[in-house]
Amino acid sequence: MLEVNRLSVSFGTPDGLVRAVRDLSFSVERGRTLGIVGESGSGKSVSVQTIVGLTRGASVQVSGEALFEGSSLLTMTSAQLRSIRGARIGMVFQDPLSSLHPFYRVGWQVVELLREHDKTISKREARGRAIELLGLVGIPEPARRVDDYPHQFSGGMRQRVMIAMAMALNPSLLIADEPTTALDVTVQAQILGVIRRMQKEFGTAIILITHDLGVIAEVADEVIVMYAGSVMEQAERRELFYAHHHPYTVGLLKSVPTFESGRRRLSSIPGQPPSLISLGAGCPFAARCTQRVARCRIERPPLAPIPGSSMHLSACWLDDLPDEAESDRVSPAIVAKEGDRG
Amino acid sequence: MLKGPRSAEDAWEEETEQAAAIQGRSPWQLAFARLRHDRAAMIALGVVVAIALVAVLAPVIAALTGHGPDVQYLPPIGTTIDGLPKAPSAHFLFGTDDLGRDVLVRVAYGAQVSLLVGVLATLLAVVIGALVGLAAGYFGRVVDTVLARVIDVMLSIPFLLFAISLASVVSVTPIHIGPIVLQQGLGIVVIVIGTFSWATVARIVRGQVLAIREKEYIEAARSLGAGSWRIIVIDVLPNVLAPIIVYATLLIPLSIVAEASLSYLGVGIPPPTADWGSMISEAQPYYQEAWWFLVFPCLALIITTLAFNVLGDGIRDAFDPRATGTRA
Amino acid sequence: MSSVSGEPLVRVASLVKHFPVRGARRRRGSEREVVHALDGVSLEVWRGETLGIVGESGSGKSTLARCMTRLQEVTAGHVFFDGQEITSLSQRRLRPLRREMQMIFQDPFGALNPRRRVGSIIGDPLAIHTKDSGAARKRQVQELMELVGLNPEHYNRFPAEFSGGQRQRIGVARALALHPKLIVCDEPVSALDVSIQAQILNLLVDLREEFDLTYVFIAHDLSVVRHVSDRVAVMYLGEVVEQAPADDLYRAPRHPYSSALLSAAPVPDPDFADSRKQIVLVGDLPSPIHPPAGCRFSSRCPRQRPRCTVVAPMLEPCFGDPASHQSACYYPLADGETLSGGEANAHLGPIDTEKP
Repeated sequence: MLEVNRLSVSFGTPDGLVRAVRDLSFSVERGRTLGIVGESGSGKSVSVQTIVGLTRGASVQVSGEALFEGSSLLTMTSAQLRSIRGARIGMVFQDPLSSLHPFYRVGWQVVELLREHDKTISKREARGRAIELLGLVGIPEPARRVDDYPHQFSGGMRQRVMIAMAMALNPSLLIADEPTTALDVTVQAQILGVIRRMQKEFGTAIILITHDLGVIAEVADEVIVMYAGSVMEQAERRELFYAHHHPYTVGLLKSVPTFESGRRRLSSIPGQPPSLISLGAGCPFAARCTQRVARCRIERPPLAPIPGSSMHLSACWLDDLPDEAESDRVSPAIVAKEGDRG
Repeated sequence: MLKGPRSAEDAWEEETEQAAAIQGRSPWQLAFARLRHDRAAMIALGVVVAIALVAVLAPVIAALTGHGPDVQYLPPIGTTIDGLPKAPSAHFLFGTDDLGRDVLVRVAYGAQVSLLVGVLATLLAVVIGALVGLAAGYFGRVVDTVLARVIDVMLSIPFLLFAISLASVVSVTPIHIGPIVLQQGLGIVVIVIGTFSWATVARIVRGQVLAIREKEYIEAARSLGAGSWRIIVIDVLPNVLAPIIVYATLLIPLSIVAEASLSYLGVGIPPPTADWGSMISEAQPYYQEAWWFLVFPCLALIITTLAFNVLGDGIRDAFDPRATGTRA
Repeated sequence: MSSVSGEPLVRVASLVKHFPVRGARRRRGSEREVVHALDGVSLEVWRGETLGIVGESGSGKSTLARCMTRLQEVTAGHVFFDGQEITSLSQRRLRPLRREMQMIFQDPFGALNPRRRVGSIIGDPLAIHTKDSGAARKRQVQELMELVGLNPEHYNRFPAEFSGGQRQRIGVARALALHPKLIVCDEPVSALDVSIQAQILNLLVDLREEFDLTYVFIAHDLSVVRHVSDRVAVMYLGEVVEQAPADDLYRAPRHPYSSALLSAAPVPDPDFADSRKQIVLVGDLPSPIHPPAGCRFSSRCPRQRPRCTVVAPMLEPCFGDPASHQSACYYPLADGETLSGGEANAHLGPIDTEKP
């Protein structure tokens, strides 16, 4: 339903060209959830915002293709995109406090949204639907709360309102950009439950963006791992967690403390994410990779299927180097020492 | 970035150095760089520097033209036979005034007064205002309540009326405070203008300090055991400096205009000192016959005020860029 | 883990902290409305150990940290540091003690003054408490920078030129400057990327070994707390609901809230996530201005019974637990028992435990 091919997004700044996204390709089907996981600067938010047309501007360069139900999103006019956003693509962002207008009652905002996209609906009908939606996302006493202001809701409740608004027009795709990052863990569990229930009831396709691998493990069907604007690994959920391939994925999984890790030293990824302006020619992760070889800094590995699987993709030279001697590999100790420094 | 046969390690070093080079700029340097790119602000800065030069070099101008600022040239050189000002000519580039004095030279000397009062009054206002604002904002509660009321009172006193009254009083009977004598002149004008400007500065500073007070780095400083005044000077002040500077740059033209107004009304700088405000006042009856007498001091005032205002805008934008769009 | 003995380094007893509600109307005769941030918290921190404090928003954990270090004044109760009562010491008398207890803050972007150079920031404690010369201070600061993994050449840079993880290292260096006995870490890694989190956690653990530090480690992320702590205290709405050695807590939580918290934490393991029956709490946190009577968790607790809403349960061991494992619940979970929707609260509706 949504197909993205080789999407690249760059921003021109006084300091240079920021290559925020490079060659992102994926597709999402009805009833499935795609999880995009990455740390800050990975390009996960920018890519999705570009797809729905929220990053248009003079200094933005976009290349590639994004087809939504057959139509090309990147070439649409702003007006066309506006009619799609909200109606056929719903969006939920991280901070509901800044997405909801603080001066208008919540019910009014939902009603406005409904009437904006459907001119025939009456105020009474819209209000009824608003109450219905609030109930659907689990807000208790929706008939009473529909007239409350956003600040009268707790963080979790506000996010439910956002989901209600996103689902109001029954979109075929829901994009959730870090929807639970600002919420407590018990509330996060509630919200993820609501999102999952929406998908079950309406068959919506979901793109979920997060930095939390645990959330991915719970809700995603397919996973894309991004780093510094590029896709490092792309696979079905269990494949990613149990048959991971890319050193970045491995490092990420190992650096998450779990209940079992006890008080052993966490294996961390040394160094920090690179500047998106001065990305070199090689693999963006090479500087921090304990498995790197000389080739990694010179040539960027393509995102290709790993041996034995056609759907599991990884952007790494690793399996391609049967002839490299063991001594060519950089020892983890050296990388750790130079990387841990600021 | 990579050049031929150099090893991958070298290439890597170069990349990281390049990335590091993009950083390495202090907030002040960044602001300065932004200011440099603001063409309007740079032009304004040039104008301000030019005006300052004119003020400093006023005696030189007087020497070059051969005319002093207070020298009255008798008819038919200084004025017409009827006693009217003479039009601009090769001899008097800006013409003469009703007493036969060289307008150009007087405008130049007038710049001295304007700039001096502008800067000194602003300095006075900023120093007092910053102190009061810092104390009120940081200590809060009783101190804040008291100081905030004082600020409110100061802001509600009408400037012009009070200034006129005070200046009129001292022009007749100088006030003696110990060794200091307050009489009509530069001193009183600076004090009066400064006294009426500090309240706004204090209010701005207080607002900023209230916001900064809640920041974590202030909490961190307290957790380290830093005393209040140390925190105010070392942690709060640098963050408040930027709005202070911006407002100061905008306060200078306000002070200049205030001084011109006072002199226009006759209660500022006493004659015969060359002063734009008094020149404008004296030129009024002659505006039909001798436009130059009125126009040149007016222009000087307008250009000076405009230049400072544009510069102030530029400085504010440099410190606080709300980017309206990135330049590629 | 260093040996632990003797008097506790820090002790708080029945700590109460109420914040006045801004703009609340003072009705004649009745009390002013207050936010009950802390209501009777008692804890001990032993020399050399790391006490983890876990809680969600509204639990009061940050307020506890600030009351412990006297950054906030307490409303009632006592704070002891190294045997000495510091609850009402004047700021002047407190100053020398500040050398011994330091804090690391959550926000790497907010905890450093953007207009000061990093060397000056790290050297601040030295400038305040010692009479060292500028050159001596600089040397110490550079040593500290190396210790925490920063390049000492960057002494003159501004915070904006560093990444989030590096800024947190700066905060650590600053806290370490006077070689304190206690460091209170208020969510030190919450704002950092996962891969950087691990670096900072490792750093904190290394420093603890090297300098024999005592940590109070506050976080909302259970797995992070588990990783660094010897003992853990779970807080809810201003009270401690359970405290235990870390292993015991994670293996056999007694309090329903602890159990719900553990089960709600996302785990990067798909099979585990699919198979576990996640407890999803119904409803919202009650208002801290009007906390419920009795047990504060009762309004959301699946095991709630009439007794729970009358008198709050005491914090004490149950089921034969050792004195080190205490929980405040009338119906704690037994070994191996998992929280379920069994005794559902009819008025709250069915418990949301379904998984797709």
